[in-house]
Amino acid sequence: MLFSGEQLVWGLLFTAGLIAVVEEWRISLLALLTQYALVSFLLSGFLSPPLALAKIATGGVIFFILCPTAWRGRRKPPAKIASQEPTFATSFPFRLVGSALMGLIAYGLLHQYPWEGVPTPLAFASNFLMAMGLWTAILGRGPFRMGLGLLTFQIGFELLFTTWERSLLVAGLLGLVNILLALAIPYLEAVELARRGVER
Amino acid sequence: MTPLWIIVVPWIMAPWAYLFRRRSAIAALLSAGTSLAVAVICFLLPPDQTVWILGRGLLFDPWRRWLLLFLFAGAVLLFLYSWHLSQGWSFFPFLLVTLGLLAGSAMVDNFLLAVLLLELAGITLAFLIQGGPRADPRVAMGYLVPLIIAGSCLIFSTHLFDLVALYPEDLVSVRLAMTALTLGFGILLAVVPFHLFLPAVAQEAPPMVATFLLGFYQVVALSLMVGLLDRQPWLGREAFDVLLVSGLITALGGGVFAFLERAPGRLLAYGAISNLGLILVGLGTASGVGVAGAMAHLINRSLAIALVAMGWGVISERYGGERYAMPMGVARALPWATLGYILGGLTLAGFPLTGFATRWPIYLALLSHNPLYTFGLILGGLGIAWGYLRSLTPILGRGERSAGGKEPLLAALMIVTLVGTSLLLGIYLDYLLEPLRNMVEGFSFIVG
Repeated sequence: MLFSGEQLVWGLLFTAGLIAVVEEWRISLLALLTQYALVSFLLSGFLSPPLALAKIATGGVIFFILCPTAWRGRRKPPAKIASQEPTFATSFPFRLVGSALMGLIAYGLLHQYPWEGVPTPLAFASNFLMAMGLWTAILGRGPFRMGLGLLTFQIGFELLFTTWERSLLVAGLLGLVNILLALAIPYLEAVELARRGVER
Repeated sequence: MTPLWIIVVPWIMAPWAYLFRRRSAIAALLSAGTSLAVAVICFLLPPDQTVWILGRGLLFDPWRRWLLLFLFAGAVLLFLYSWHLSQGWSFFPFLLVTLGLLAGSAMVDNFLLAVLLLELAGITLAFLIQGGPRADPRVAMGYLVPLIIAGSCLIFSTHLFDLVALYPEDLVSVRLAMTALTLGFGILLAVVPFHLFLPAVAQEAPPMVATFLLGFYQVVALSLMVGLLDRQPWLGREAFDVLLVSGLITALGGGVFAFLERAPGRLLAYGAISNLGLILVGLGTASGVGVAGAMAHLINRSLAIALVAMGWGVISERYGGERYAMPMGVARALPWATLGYILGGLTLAGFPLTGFATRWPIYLALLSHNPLYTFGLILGGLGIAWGYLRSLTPILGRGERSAGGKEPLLAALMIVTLVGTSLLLGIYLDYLLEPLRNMVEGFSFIVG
């Protein structure tokens, strides 16, 4: 094994934190792709190798779906609409403090509801990803950021659920949910960019 | 013929509808024809069949037969309406895909797979909610967030079912399963206080998409819940108490919000939410009369939602995209659309001859629980009535005539047909209630 389970969990916590705190699209997208890879490595002990590989492939597909949209929206919009103006709730310190609180909540939940048969680090990583995903989705000002939050939430949820349910059909449908979600994000982001006056 | 066609046919036709998406006449006829054909298949197929795919059963029993017939017959109306009144470029193909997914969700005999298919259908609906460049994309995104949370809660509950089956005496698992189900279905059905996303969606989405979401998607979600109550007896009386209380809060809350609302889309959403609360109360009584009344009201509610949305769709289209207020003097320019809007609204409010008939069995079933609850439901209806009666002032006032000409004939005909159906349902309810009563008697949770 290239990395230990603990290192993979730390990697997941770090990438989820990056997505929640940093708004830079390149960092967020790379962090998301890394998350898919880390989850696949982490679950390789539970899943058959093809299924673990399928999870990495899903992450890759999602990355390539989201990349063009993120690239198109990289330029500063010439005309911002009122709701896009920065507020305290979307500022870096608020996101940082909020993310730390989410981490505490995830830790608290771990002790409140320990899952039988699920290793503690994996359960914590799952709780943390779900909490950070929700936090990012709630604070996101546009479809792209909200979508990244939702995908992070889904990664956290699948991390936990895959340890219980290892059916190929269910894994396939969950992957389809993620891909369809990833397809909706660029569609909605494109409309958002058009509304903000960014030319394609 | 196998029931599998019910799922597959819409998917086969969706790419063709996509190819002809710019030619609304062809796309509408193709999509409506497909839905009609599937509705006929549902009607002709002998019930009580099971098809096995990848080791999973697809059930086609009398209950699912009527549910699917209702779903596809309703879709025919939505497609035909969209012939002359555009609902966005993606409407025809994506709705066909959604219909196939919903049919799969309704038929699959596995709660986990049903939830996953319902979630997929919900995400596909996000493309339709956006509709075009005019709507705010954050509304569609704001719809996806609760959908994903609800889906995760319901998927998670399936693991807890296994735990409860293994350790029935473990109360923590039972409580957690109840919480996950309450949250999941509460968010999915937009039960108060989880309803906040729905009014914005109904306001921003094209009218037929809002109709599909409120009047059909939620019906499939509700049928999934009923199926679960039927098959998981350990949920017990507590689940029905939750339904009763949450239904009452939703019926009353929706009515209060409708009372305060002026924007037609949001008013429709609050009316639909309040009526959904009434249906939950009917289910919560767990009595034959109450549950049959809830089923009948589910049909009446969908008809009313379609009527309001069709009327409002014509009005907003003819008045240059007016969306946040009722234009002045609409009744003179667009009489049939106005009739549909007002009558649909009054049906949602539970007025005599329209919505009251299907509310009555629920009121009756509720009297044995607590007469005060009935009063709460009536109060909720009054809030909706006020919301719609208030819009009569601009409707009947003097204003500019419609700039876009007369009402589309097909839309007017459909509105008149739905008005007639709604009135007939109000007058001859027994013809619907008796078969429904016989059908619901088969549920394991019915107590009297």
